Formats: sequence, C-alpha cells, structure tokens
Amino acid sequence: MIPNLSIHNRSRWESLLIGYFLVLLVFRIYSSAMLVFAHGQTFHSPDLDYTFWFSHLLGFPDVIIRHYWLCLLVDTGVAGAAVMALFDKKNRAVWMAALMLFFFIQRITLESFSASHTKSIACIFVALFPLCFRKEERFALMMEGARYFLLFILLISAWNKWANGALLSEGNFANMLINQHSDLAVYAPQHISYRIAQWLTETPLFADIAYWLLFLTQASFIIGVFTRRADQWLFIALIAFAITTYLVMRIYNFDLLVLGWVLLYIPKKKVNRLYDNMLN
Amino acid sequence: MHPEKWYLVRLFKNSKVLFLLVLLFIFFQAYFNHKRIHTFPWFVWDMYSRTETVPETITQTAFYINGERLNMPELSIWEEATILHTFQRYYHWKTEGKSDPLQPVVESRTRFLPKKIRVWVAERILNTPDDMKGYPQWLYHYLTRIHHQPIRTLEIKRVPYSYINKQLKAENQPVTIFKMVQKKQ
Repeated sequence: MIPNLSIHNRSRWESLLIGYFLVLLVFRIYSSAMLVFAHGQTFHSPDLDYTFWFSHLLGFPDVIIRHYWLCLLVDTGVAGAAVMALFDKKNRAVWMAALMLFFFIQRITLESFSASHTKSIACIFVALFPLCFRKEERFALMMEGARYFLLFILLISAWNKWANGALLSEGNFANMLINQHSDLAVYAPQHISYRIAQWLTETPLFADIAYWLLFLTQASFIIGVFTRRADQWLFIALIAFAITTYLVMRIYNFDLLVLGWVLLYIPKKKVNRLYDNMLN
Repeated sequence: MHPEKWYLVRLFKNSKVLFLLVLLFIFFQAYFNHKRIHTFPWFVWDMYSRTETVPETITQTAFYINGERLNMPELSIWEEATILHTFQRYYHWKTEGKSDPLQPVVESRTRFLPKKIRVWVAERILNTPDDMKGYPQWLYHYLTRIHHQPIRTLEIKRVPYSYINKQLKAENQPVTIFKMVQKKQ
C-alpha cells in the first residue's frame, strides 16, 4: 500500500519543489550545462524559435557569452536565487521572480550558443510561475493552470502517437530504438540502454508492447481532466515514465517531473471538499 | 458543471491581467502546435510520435583526441549534444557556401518590414564569417576541459556505417573533415 503522497501545506510543497530544482541544478553543473562552460562560443543558433530571435534582437545572449564574469554572474544568480527562495520563506515570491529571470537568461544564452534546444525546460517555468504569487487564491489559480498544461502536453503527445500512425505501425518502436542508439552501438554496446534496446529490437513484439505502454501511460492523464483523486498515481506514472525513457532511450525527461509536482499539492480546503463530496 | 466553476471564468473574475496572459498562452500553444514550431515557453511534443524506418547507411561524426577516438556516451548528454550540434553547424557552414542556413527564414519573416529593419534583424540573427572563424579554438578549449588532459591533435572524421541484420558495420575508411594540431609552446 502506497501512503498518501499529497501535500496540503503550501510552504512545505514549495520547499520540496525548490529542493528538487536544486538537485537538478547540481546535475546540470555536473553535466556542464552552465554558462561558464560555454563561455567564449563564437556563433549562435536561435533556430526557428521566436523567443530566441527576440532575445538576440535585444542582444543580451551575445553580450553575456563574451564575458566570463557575466556568465558567472548569471549562473550564480540562478543558484543563489533558488537557495534564497528555499530558506527565505517570507520573501519567496520575490526570489522566485528573480530565479525565473536569471534562469531565462541562462537557458536562452546557453541553448543558443550550444545549438541544443531543450524543449522540456518550458515545464520548469510553468511549474515555478505560481510561486511568484503571494496571494493564496492567485497561487491556486496558477497551480490549476500549470496542472492543465501538464495534462495537455502528455495527452497531445499520446494523441500524436495515435494520429501519426506510429502506434499501429508494426515494429516502429524497434526502428526508433535502432536509430536512437546508433552511437551506443559503436561506442558502448555494453551500455545498459543499448542492451535493453537490443533485446527489444530482437523481439519486436515486446518493443511494440513497450511502445503501447508508453502511449497508455501518457493517455492515462485523461483521468486528471475529470478528477484530482488519481493525481498521486499520475505522479507515480510520471516518475516511471521519466526513469524508463532515460533507461531505454537515454532521453532526459526529469525537467518534466518539476511540473509533475503540481499533482501532489492539494490545499486543505480542497481536501475537505473532496471528503465532503465522497460522504454526500 | 456550472459555467461559474470553469477555470477561465474563475480566473477572469480574479484577475483580468492573468486571464489575458493565460488566454494568450493558450492561443500561442494552439498556434505553435498547429505550425509545429518550437518556441519557448510553449511545448510542442511530437518527437518519437511518427513512423520511422531504419536507413541503409548512416554517417557518424567521430572525434579523435591525440589519435584516440573520444567515447561520446561517456560524456554527459549535454556535453555530447553541445559538441556534436555545434560542430555540425560549423561543418555545414564551411561546406555549404559559408552562408547561414537561417538566411531564407530571416528573409521570409521580415519580408513585410522596411529595408532598414530587415538589415538590422539579419545582422542580429545571422552569424558572420568572423563568428564562425573563432569556433575551432573554442571547441579545442571545450574538449580540453572535458578531456582533463592537454590535447596535441584534434581530428574529426566522418565514419560511414551500414545496417546489416540490424547491426552497424563500418563501410569504408573514415574521412577526415577537420584537423587541428596544437603548436608546441
């Protein structure tokens, strides 16, 4: 039996979310995903992204990347604002606004000059945005919006698998795995991801079943549109999704989990109402 | 459910500014989803959602440091992506007439604007030959930091492979596409 994971205390929930953000930040430092490591890169790659274009029109990424101290300042700003938001509960909303600003500048600059755009970073911003509000009612409304956004992206991903014919195409996931792991096939055939993928590609039926499981995990978030009672199960499904996609496909989905935290917060008032509904 | 309980109605009653913000967010999410354009902070999630085939041949970019092939999966996902993607952009620029691949997009997106603004946008978005020239030195420093050892030679090769019974087999000899020898100090 899994204990109730829901958190009813706003401050505690916020602390846990910021704590998880800091854990990911440590992972980012370890992975060299910080501006100081990319300092001095000479060309940018905004691709088709309008926000990157606007940022380069303003010019701040080009100025920052050229100056080591500015890179360090932005990186420190991200870590510092997150730590302050964790401990200074009284001014948390202000620190969160600062964190979002520093993190935005950092990510736009880093991703443009590394030619690597991480889409799932949007989830972190949507998850952190409600924390910028002190008023309980506005915080709750933004949290609700963030929760709908999470449901939407998972459902649209499931829908795309169905609508594009990937789900019903026999052996399609086996092909995806072969394409995904061409580097591991050459460099590290002993890698756990490659060994799992190889087993799946050799038995395409299991690969198809795995893809269906992936689809069903995403599609199960439809339940969240109608009720909040399954939220903690959806959170567990999301953790399973992030871990298995990392293990099998070497895809980093842990940013998505930041947004997943919205599934665990149920304010006290809402809990009472849930129980009232159950009793009546 | 009574319309008064609808999310957007409650939001409208609480704050007109936030209502407008959320409405704009929804509008652009729908627009970018339809256009399949990835724009931050909207999220268009359509990867691994299409039918795929295994190509007969593929070409890998291999980095040789001091004569030894760099084991890419040993690096973090971010480091691997940074090295590969930036080099691919650089190599594309070098071999495709030294022009920025975004040029037609800039021209298309700014076609209704006055010439002065079009030129200004192009200057800000597109990379110049001077921007590209500094890249090899940056790559050398980046790899030195990752490799934790001084790099005497950096060689980048294209290695063609073909799939035989779903296994990768090297086709021909790798072709060197980039070479850098550090001068002794």
